[in-house]
Amino acid sequence: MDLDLLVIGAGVAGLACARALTDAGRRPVVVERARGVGGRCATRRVDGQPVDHGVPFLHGRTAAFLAAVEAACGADLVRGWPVAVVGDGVPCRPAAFEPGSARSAPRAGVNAFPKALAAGLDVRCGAEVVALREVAGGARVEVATRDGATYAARRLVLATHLRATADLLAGMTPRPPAVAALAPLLGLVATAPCLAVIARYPEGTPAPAFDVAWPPDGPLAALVHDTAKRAPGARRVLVVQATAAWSRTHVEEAPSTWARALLDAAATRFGAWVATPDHVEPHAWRAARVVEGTELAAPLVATLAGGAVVGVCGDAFDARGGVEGAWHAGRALAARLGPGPSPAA
Amino acid sequence: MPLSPAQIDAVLREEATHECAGVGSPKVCVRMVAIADLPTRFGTFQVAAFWNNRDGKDHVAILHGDPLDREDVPTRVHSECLTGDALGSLRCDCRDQLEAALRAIAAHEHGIVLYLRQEGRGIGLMNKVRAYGLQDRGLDTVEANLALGFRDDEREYAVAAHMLHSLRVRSVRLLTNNPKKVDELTRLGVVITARQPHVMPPNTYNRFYLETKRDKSGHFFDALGKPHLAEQGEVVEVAREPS
Repeated sequence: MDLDLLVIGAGVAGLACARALTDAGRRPVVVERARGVGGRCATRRVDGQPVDHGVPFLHGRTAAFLAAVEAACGADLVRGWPVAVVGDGVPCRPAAFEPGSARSAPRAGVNAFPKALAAGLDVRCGAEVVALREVAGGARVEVATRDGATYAARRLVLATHLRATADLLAGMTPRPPAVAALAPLLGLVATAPCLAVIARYPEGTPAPAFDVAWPPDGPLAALVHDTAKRAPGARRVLVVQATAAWSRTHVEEAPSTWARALLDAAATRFGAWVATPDHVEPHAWRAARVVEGTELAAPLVATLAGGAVVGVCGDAFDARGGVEGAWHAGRALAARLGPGPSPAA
Repeated sequence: MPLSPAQIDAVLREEATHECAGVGSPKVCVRMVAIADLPTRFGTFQVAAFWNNRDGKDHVAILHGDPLDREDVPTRVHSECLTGDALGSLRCDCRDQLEAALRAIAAHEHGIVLYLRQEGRGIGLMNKVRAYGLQDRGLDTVEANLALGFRDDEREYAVAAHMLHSLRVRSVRLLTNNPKKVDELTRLGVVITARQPHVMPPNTYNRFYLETKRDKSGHFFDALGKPHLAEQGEVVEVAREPS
């Protein structure tokens, strides 16, 4: 399939990029490895109730991003959430609580934001990209997916997680010099894992006195009271997030083992009831976030000999980082991808 | 003559109640909070420290004579470069540019150097050092400069424009080789009577640097062969690719 624009990865960066291109009259195709869009803006259903086990809330300080959140989720937003914030620990993005920063959480789950960005786009889920190849003398990049489909794109956007991006580019054959030149830049960015546990409690479990707690020391990085951002009547659900250091040490253990350890640690700090949920779902985020300070300032672009363009964006390609950074990086890359094919061509 | 204590008191009193909608789209507002004498090895100046509503950086203006309410004030806008300004790096000309600017305004009856503190997290210093690190390994590409070289130009010009306004300067003669600075400041309401090239012919003060560059020996060998960035600010200000 011959395409002008192909975006790999339907997280916030890839979708923001595809959205901006679509708004400019282009027709990008987005391929996504997972079954649904959103990446780390992830919401699971536990017996039908939404639970955010990745990004717990949206925050930002730029008018454009906040307007995009408003346009996507509007009436469904719990504005200002989290309000009851406790603990002397450091939020994963301290900037979220600085003056000028606005916070909110969609009642339907944070995944509602990327889902709204994806509305109307040609997004193909369940399509894992396994190889890139320079073809037609660098006029196209051929993209092969695990299920055997191939696409030939004039402009390719990699908006998948950093390791996957680095691996796909490293494995590109033949490897164009412009693509090879991106490797040391990707190497400057560091990521941190996060082990997370969804814990649901029996009916009648009283509400804890916080929306989010940041304990002062490990193994817990954050305890999120997910129910506090849901519609009335929702079951009591906590999401436990481990610190990066603790996650690195335990990520290779069985999920049931580290989930137990995290719940016990949470119970020690927040009360014995926390240790006995009636439903537990562990989730290991191997690259949960970009280590603060290692972000690059802009998306990357490599132009091949035949004029094909390979762009890279994501939350690592904007100094703001996080969801807001990802969104800006996606749009910044869209602006750098150049005009579409002329009708005569 | 420098500003008198009475002039300083009057200006600061007025500044203390200053409020405005802000300059440019970043809506930058600055307020002068202190002025003091500053004798330097380049001349005798006064320094004015500014608060601003956008970042935690204390921007300063270095004043010679009494530029308040004047026309055609020789003015240089200098962006902080720690490695060059303070550490004497030979990878850029920032120190030479700054020294030349201070000497230039000291030679005039009145003059201003705006010293903008722009280096900070996410932009500037950290990414400059990362870029230098890549250059050391021969990885010097336009893409690397873009990825590491983001600078908030718009804020920088807005800060400069407002500082000149706070100093009640009616018009300036801008010391710069960069026509973009003239365009941007004009757009933000600064009246520019002329652009004076800020070039540095070999002289007593930079001959040492130039000779070091020519003579590949001595302690400065390490600086040789590094990409050399001529105009102050260029380290982190690279032309966007045409789209």
